[in-house]
Amino acid sequence: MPDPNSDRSSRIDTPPHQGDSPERIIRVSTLARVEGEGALTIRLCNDRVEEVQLRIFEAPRYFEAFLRGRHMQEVPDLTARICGICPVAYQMSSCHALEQLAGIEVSGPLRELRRLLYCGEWIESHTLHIYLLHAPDFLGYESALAMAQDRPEYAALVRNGLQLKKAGNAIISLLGGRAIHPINVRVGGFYHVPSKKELKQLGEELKGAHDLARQTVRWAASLDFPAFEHDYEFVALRHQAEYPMNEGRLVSSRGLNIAMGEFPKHFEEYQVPYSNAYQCRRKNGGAYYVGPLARWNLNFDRVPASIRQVADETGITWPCRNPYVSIIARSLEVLYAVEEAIRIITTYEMPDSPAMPYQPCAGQGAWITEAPRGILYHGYETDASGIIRQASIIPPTSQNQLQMEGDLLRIAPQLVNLSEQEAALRAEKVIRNYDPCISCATHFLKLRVERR
Amino acid sequence: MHQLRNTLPQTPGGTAVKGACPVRVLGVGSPLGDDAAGWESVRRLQRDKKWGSGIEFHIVEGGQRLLDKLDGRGTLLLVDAAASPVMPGTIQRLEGLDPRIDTLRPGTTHHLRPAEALQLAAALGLLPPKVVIWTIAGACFDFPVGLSPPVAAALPRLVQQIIAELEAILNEGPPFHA
Repeated sequence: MPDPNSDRSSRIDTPPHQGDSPERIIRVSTLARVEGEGALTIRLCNDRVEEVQLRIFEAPRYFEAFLRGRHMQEVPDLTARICGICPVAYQMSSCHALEQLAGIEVSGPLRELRRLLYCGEWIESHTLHIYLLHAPDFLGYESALAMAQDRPEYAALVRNGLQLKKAGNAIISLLGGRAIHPINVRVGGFYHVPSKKELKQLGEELKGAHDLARQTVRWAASLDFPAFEHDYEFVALRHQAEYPMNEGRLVSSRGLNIAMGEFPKHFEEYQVPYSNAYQCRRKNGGAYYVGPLARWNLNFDRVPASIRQVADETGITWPCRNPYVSIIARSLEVLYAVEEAIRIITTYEMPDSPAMPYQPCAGQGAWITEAPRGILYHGYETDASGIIRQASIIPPTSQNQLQMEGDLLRIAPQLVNLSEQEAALRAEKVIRNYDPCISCATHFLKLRVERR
Repeated sequence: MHQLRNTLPQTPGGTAVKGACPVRVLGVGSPLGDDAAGWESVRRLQRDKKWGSGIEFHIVEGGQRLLDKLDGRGTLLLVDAAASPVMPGTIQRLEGLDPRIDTLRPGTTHHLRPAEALQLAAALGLLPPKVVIWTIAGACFDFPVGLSPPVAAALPRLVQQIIAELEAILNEGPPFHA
């Protein structure tokens, strides 16, 4: 276990060369500027990369196990506790999966309010990563604090980022009942819905956010990106008319096009001995890439023309296969989420009821929504009284782990001649392109008890 | 389920204060062991005394949420458990960016520690002119939920000291101008 009192800066722990041994190990024992606790080991032999291990040592949390035996109506409140950054995603995937199981479909203003809530989470989560976690990598600083302390223009930049993030906080506070771990979401809809007046006030708070979001895209596009491209298989939802959040088919850049319930037929989780989180791969064995860059690459034709124009002005040719450019995709999604939130607020009509009724029943349901970091799969099985008998939760960070290791393998030859410090930093930057949420990825560990 | 939904209650004094020099009282922590001391202090501050306008109370998990509550105005009074080698239950009062704020518990593995958040707030011009930090040394920061005996025993004293400080600040009026 890591020292709980330790700071969150990177710990680089590199054993000295053993005499003439050709082996060299680059080890980052605590990754900085990621959500949760993970580590990285790269093993080189004769300047050849032998092995890369992204180790997630944050303790397993057994969410799937303790959902069993709980009533389906409790699930959104329980799964919201999986993550302090993307609780809405967990609530949305669980609600949709259980509604499918119960045979209801949320539509009209309730559907719009869910989308608005998701906009809030995308704004909040993406802005946090762009300004506090990712920006220092591009500007050459150890942290956002170092950036802000060094130059007034960077302090202004971070201040704007925090201001933009507050727009997301405001949406989640109003619709979710509070800013963190929302308590207002339930299977079928909400416990309470806002009045038109309340949403109008929220709309006033979002006015300034639109300019800040546009500035964010322009700033992100001004950064220098390393030449680093790979023919990834991007995977995301795709909806017939809108940029995907809660609905759509599951598609990939290599032609996959399936109903989301078919996910387990095409993808699989598996364990590796060095990590507390499952990894995921296509059933044909390949890594795949989920998250804002995948979503944008597969759906940029689904945003309004005004945002496509902003995307064109970045000078990037879309689709883009450079993971460092994910910061631009993230900023474009923030702009989209702000515009979409304003659209929903402007056209909102209060629903007759805050939730649709449903009857607990025996069945199976599975759904995918687009969490800020990529697709989030939930599958449930209930008995006749609506008690959960089986739960399966596959978060985006688990799905990206193998891809992150692939990127590290690809970049490792460039690390051979660098100092330990510089090599570790370059490797960490590769990981931060994915905005991994390690806390999300450690819900599950199969516990095996051997008895003699 | 009640515990899940109510570990972060909407604090009655949690609405934004519109005046030029608000007094913000923030409890930082988590429900785990003595890490809950900051939250529990804020709950008791609200329970034990009826406060007038000009003061708001918040319960936050970590440095990031702390940062969200700051705007460079008024007074910040922060309450948090400290992971320090002194005897559990020891109460400490710090002002401004005292180096000892490094002992403040993070509350969550996500994002910034409270000390980092305060330093970042200072760099961004978001730190209020007056910052007071009350800490209480913890013994256990893990399961089970609930304070350890020495921290539980010391908490009423901590709350009384904070009430006295808040009364002095509120009676003093406007010297803590933004």
